[in-house]
Amino acid sequence: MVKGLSNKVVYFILALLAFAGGAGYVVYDYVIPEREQVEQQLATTKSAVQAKYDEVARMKEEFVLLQSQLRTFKDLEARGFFNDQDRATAIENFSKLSTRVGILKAKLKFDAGAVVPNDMADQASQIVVKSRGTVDIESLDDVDVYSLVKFMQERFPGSVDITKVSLERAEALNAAMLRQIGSGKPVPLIRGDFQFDWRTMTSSNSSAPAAGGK
Amino acid sequence: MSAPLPSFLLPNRCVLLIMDDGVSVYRVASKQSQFLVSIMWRDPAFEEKLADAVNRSGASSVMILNDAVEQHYRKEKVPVITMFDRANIVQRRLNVAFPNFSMRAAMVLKEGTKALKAAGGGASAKGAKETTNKGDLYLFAAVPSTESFGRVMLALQNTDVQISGYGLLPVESTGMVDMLVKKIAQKSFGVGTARWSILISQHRGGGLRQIVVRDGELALTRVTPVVEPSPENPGVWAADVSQELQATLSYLARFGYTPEDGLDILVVGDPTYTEALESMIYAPCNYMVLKVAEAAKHLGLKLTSDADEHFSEVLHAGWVGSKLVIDLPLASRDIQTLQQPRLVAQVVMLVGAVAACGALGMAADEALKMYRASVNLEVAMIQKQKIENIYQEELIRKQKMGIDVPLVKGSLAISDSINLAKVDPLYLLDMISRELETIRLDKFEFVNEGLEPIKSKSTDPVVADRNTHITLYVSFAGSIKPKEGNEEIDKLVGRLNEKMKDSGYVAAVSKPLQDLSFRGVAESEFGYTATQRKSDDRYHAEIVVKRVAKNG
Repeated sequence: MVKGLSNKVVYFILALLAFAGGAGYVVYDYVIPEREQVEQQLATTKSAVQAKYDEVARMKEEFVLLQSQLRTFKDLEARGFFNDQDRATAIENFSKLSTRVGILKAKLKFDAGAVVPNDMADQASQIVVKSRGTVDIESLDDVDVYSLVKFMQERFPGSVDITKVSLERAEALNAAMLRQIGSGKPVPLIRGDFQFDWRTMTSSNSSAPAAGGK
Repeated sequence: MSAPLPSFLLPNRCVLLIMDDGVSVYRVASKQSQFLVSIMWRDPAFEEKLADAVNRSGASSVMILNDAVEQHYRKEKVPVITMFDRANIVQRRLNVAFPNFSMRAAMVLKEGTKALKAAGGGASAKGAKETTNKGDLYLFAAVPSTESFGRVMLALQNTDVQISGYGLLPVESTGMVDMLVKKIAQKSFGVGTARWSILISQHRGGGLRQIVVRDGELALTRVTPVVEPSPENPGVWAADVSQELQATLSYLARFGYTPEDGLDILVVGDPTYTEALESMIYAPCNYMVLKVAEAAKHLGLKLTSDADEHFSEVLHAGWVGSKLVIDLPLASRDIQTLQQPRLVAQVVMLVGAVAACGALGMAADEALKMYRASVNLEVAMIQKQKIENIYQEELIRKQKMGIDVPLVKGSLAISDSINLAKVDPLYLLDMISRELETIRLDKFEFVNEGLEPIKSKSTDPVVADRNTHITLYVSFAGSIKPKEGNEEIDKLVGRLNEKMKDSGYVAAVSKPLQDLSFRGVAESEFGYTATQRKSDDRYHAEIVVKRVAKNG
C-alpha cells in the first residue's frame, strides 16, 4: 500500500486517526453541548433558588415591615382609597363638603373614568381608576374656596390630586355691594374653578370595593 | 559523541551486528543487552529468519552496526569555512575521498579542534600557528553497499520497526573503550593513565576486534580472524591474539605512538584464555583483563544469565543500543527508503495518539464537569423544592393572618407615587399671601400637570415630571408711577424667592406694570381729565412662581 510500511501499520494509522477524529467529533458535537446545557440548567436553577431565597427573606422582613405598613393601609382603606368611583356617592360626598363650607355655588363635573395600567395593581388583582373632576365655583370669600379645596384633598374618598386652580376677584367690594350682601342677596365676589384627578383602586374581578384586610 | 541514555528513557531496541559471515541480532531494553540469534549469509531463508527475529524481539526500532572487515577511514582537515557552506564542502571532500562507496559519513574529531586551539592561543604557540593549517579535523568513513547489506534491508522491509541508524562498530564503541579502559586503569594503576588504549575482544565467527583509541578518539581498528578458542588448549588462541596485537602495535608507531605516551591494553573475555595471553605480551603497557560480565557491570549494562563469557559483541551492542542516536550515521538510499515513510508514520501515529489522548482527555474532563454539574443540579433542584415549600408556607402563614401582601404593598406603593406627584396649592398660596403685604392680588392660576405618576412598571414609587407653576395677577392704582410699581413688583419677587427657594420654587416677573426699557411701548396722558381717569384705572402685572425642584 505504502512503500516501507506494512498494511498493518497503515490500517493502524487510519484507525487511530479515525478514532481521534471520531472522539473529537463526539466531544465537540455531543459532550460539550450536553455539558453546557446541564451547566446552563444548573445556573438557571441556582438563580431561581437564589431568587426564591431572596423572596422568602424579603417576605420575612416584610412580615415585620407589614405590621407597620398595615396601619398605613388601614388609613388608606378608611379614606376610601378602595373605591369603585360610584358617581352618585361621589356627588353626595361633594355635596356634603360644599354645604359644610357654605360656598355660594359649586358646579361639579366628572369626566368618564379610565383604568390606569399598573403592574403592582395587577399583582394584587386590582385596577386603578382615574377620573378627571372639574368644579366651577362662586363664593363670597376666597377662604371658602380654599376650605373646599382642603376638604376635597383630605376628606373626599380616594386620592384627590389638584391639577389646576384658577381664582379671581369678580367684583370690588364697595358700598353698593355691602348693601346687597346686607340685604341677604348672594353676591359672588370670587369666581373660579379647579380641576382634580380622582384616583381609587378597586378589584379587577368585581365592581365592589376591595378590602386589603380580610 | 552521543552518550548512553538513562534506562527509563531507553526504547526497546534491536541491534543488528553485520559481520563478514552473517548477522547477529541483539535486543537492548532498559540497559539489558541480550544476544538473540546469529543468522549466516549462506542461509537460504536469511531474510525471513532475520525479519522474524526482529519482529519477535518486540523492538520498536532497529540499529544496524557494521562489524565487517571492509571499513574505510580517513582523517582529513577541512578548512575553516562558514557554517552554511560546511556541509557542502565536507560532502564534496567525502565524495573525493571515497568516490567508489555509496555509504559515507563524516564527523569532526576533537583532535582537530584541540590542534586549532593550540595554534591560535598564546604567544608560545606562534611557531605552531605558522605551520598548522587552520581547519577542523574530520574522520571520514565509508563502507561498500554490498549484497549482504541489501539482504538486511530486504529483511527489514518485512518488519514495522523504524531504523534508528547505520553505524560502524569501532566508531560507535570508541566512547565505551575510552570509558572502560580509563575506569579500570584508574582503579588498577591510579591517576595518570596512558594516552593510548587498546580494547581486544573476541566476536562470534572468529573475528578478533581491536580498537585503538588515542586521547578518547578512534585511532585505529582491526578485525582479524583468529582460531576458535578451545578450553582444552587456550594457549593457541592466546598466541594468535598475541601475534595480532604485535601487528597492531607495529602499526601504532605510524600513528605517532611512542612508549612515553603510555599504553593501556584491555582484553575482554574468558579468563581461561585471557590469562594465558598476559605472558605473551612484551610491549610496555598496562595490561588489564575483564570478564564480559564485569565489563558490562562497569558500563552499567545488564546481561542475561545465558550470556557467553568470552564473546563480547553483546557489550558493543548494549553500549550502542543505549545511545539516542548514532555518532557517525552512514547515509544510504536503502535506509532512507524505509526510514522516511516510517518516520512519517511515527509522526502521524504520534499526532494521532496525541489527538486521541487529547480528545479522550477532553471527553473525560467534560464528562467530569457534566457529572459535577448534574450532581449540583440535583442538589439545586432539591434546594429549589425546599425553598418553594418554605415560600408556600410563608404565603399560607400570611394569608392565615388575613394579610393580602400584594394588595397592601401595591396599594401603598401606588398611593406613595400619587402623593409624590401631588402639590398642595394651599401651601403655596399661604407662603405667597404672607409676602404680598399691601399688593393687591386680583387673580391666580395654579397648574400641576404632567405625566401619570402610576403609569409605570416599576414597583418602587416613581417621581413623575410635572409642570408646576402658579401665575399671580396683581394690580396697582392708576395713580402710581410705573417705575415705583415695578420696584414694588421686584421687591415682591425678591421676597418670594427668599421665602420659597428652599421649597424648590423660583419667582419671576412675567409682565411688569410697564416695560420702561427700550423694548417697551410707552404711552402717557396728562392733564386734569387724565388725572381724574388715572385714579380709577389700574396697572396690571404678572408674576410666575415656578417649581424647579422635582416633585416629591
